[in-house]
Amino acid sequence: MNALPQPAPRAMKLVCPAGTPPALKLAVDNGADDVYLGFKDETNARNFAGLNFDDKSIREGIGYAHRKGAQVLVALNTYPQPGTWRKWQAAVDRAADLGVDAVIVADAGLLAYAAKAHPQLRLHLSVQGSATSHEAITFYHEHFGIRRAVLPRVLSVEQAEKVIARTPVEIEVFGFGSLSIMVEGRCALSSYATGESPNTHGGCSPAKAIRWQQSPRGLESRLGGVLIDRFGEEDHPGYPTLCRGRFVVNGDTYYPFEEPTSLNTLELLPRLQAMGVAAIKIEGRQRSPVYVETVTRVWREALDDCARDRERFRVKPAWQAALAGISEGHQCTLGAYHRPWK
Amino acid sequence: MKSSIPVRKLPAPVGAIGRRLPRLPASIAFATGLNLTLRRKFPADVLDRLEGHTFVIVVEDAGMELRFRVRNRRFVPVARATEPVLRFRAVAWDYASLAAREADPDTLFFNRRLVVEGDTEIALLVKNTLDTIDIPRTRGILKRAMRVAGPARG
Repeated sequence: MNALPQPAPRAMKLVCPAGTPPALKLAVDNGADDVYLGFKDETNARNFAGLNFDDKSIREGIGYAHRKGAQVLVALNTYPQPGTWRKWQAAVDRAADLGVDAVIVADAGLLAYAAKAHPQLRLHLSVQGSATSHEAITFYHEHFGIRRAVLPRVLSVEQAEKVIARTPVEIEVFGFGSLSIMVEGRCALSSYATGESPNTHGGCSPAKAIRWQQSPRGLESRLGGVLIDRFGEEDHPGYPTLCRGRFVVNGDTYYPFEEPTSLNTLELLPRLQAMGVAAIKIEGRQRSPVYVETVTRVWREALDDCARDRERFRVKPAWQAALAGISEGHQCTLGAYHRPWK
Repeated sequence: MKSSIPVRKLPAPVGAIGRRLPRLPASIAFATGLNLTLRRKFPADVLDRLEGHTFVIVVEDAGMELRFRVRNRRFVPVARATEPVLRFRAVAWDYASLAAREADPDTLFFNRRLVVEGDTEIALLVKNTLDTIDIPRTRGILKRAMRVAGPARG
């Protein structure tokens, strides 16, 4: 007797960034399950000139994604202030009216509003919510009905595994992209140099505060007048954020916060799948359509390979080469997932 | 650390000739090309933000400097050097790769292959607006031309 056909193994969902409509289309065409985007204002953490979506492009993007079986998520992942609450509230209403598949929210007040005003709207807890324990995630689930939580990039694999085992909520983890300093949702570092914080204004380094200048000593990047780094001819500049700055500390020049590196967790995929990770997030709404196309293509193939046969999964050199070609910095890291000193 | 991205440069004599040619005709041709291919695709509010600003595109291996300004929502060539709001420097192949969406601008920037000097906010506005624009026909022509020219060297 022939064996019954086995159901196709379910790959972890691939959540890809889109800062522009062409990026959204390329993400969908190359196999993203979810595409996340933002409005053209400070309600999202990639509030940069010329980036993001107006209502018309979101409607078109949702239509395009749905026709091809993908979903569109809207990031409302910054924090309203007492004087700006209505703007964030209106952004939730706008996302719901546009028919997005979910909103990714960080602020508890905004989650409460969304849950009450739009009970049908699917809620994801943003990485900026900084919920690192199953107790915190379960709290958000019980009070606001969140369906998915994005884990902050501070947990080791073992810690993430424990969280997943103890929560009823889908867990999404970061798989690839630029790393920011590990106090997501709580970082105010750039406000010391620019007067603006990423969590309220939507950008770590507001473009108006950035200066790139060629000097006799090299290419200098400054933020709000503060020298972030100076690059020689052979150096590779990164994004000019304070957390990636190279500073003189007690006479030594080094990166006191973190080196400019990219997260790349391809080699962890079998482990992440086995422990029940529901979705893998790719960072980079500020990046070009070429970046989105390349990363989505590689990760789709990798996730499908892993779903087919976790035991035999091997990272292909071609994948690593493609990802290395578009990474920030020239180092890739497993970030906090791998913590030998723990 | 050397870049791992393939590089292709025009032969040195091309640059030597380019440096001796007058700059205005090339700037006129470039601005005309921008008006024909991109102007109608640029949102009006973006053109308004760029109004009055001068841009310089240095094509290093061709010995060329293309100068233009935005005036009345059109790209117009600029004859005399004024302080530009942005100056881009790269080789012709890298510009073509960007226009054809074969290369990622941030990657070229990280690798010092694309140098951008000036107002970062306007640079981001231009970059992101260009990323928003779909010109498949022009990109198709560029891609075919690049394939005819042959692969870049690593």
